Amino acid sequence: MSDEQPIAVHTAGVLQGEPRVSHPQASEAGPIQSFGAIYLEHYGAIAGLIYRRTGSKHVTEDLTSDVFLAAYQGFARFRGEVPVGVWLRRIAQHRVNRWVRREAGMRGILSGLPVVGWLLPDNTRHLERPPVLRALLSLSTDYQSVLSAHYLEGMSLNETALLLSITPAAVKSRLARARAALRLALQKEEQR
Amino acid sequence: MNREPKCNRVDTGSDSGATNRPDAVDLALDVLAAPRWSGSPDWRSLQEQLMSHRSSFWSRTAVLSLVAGGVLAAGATAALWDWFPISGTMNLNSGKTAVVSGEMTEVDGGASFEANLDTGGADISSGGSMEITMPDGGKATLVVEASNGGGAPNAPTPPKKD
Repeated sequence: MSDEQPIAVHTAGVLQGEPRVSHPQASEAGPIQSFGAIYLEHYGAIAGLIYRRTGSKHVTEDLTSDVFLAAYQGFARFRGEVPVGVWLRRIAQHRVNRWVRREAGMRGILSGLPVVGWLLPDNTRHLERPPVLRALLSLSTDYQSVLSAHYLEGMSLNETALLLSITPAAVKSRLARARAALRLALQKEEQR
Repeated sequence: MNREPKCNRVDTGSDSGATNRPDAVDLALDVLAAPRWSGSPDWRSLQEQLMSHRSSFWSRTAVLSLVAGGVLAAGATAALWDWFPISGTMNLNSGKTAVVSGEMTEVDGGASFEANLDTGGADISSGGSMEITMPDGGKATLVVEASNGGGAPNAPTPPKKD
């Protein structure tokens, strides 16, 4: 074994006294926050975002937990490149988009089968949703995300750009396309 | 940016035709923005889920490195906290440094911590310390005591005496 290899040891540690901090996050992202404080501060915003996208209390509870679990696991690597709220919203958007795609796939498989509505889990029963939400959920997840951030969550162009990692100009053009797509989806819903 | 939704719209151009009627898309977006989440955060429940994920979390990070475990000495800070990451550079008594990453977790009557110390091969058996700031602003020092080295697999060779 080389002298330069890391070693594994069990040792006891104690916390003592005073001095000053030496923490990368403290200088780059402001004071350290406990995870619990972050959870309590952002829970409402994250759950609200998910609820407005999914329309389901059950799904909101599940996905909100998923978001904070993922944040917990990634928190030690988070270096404050974006505000914590934006970082959490990114995770939330990603989770919701994944849920939307998974649910759409399941509906596609089951829609061809007769009398299988009872097979659908609670969180996939689109039929119970209002037409406007069905229209939103029928759009691509890119369109859903930009509409959600800007119109449903009230984020500015710059904030939406930060959230989606695109330029404000790209946000504006994507919003225009998303609105056009939503208009078509609403017309289809009216014709149902 | 933690707030309730508000009307904050960009004019993306006329996609509704030039009429005074409310636009169907705007109406739909108003409907979609209306729902409010009425649930409350359940920190205890989430903590239970977090703890159940700890083993997988640590299996990814526990490379060959020093594992420190201990208890918070009373009086380091008055307030309890829940969980927060510890990372930074520990000054070893040998004059070298070690990279620290870990977490501190609230427990009844105090807190426990676990941390990985990547010494890069430096001798840690003489101990070391790292200063940290608690979420409530309190200060503390994470200390690895020199006398407690050893005990786990691949324990280091005791320091050579001059």
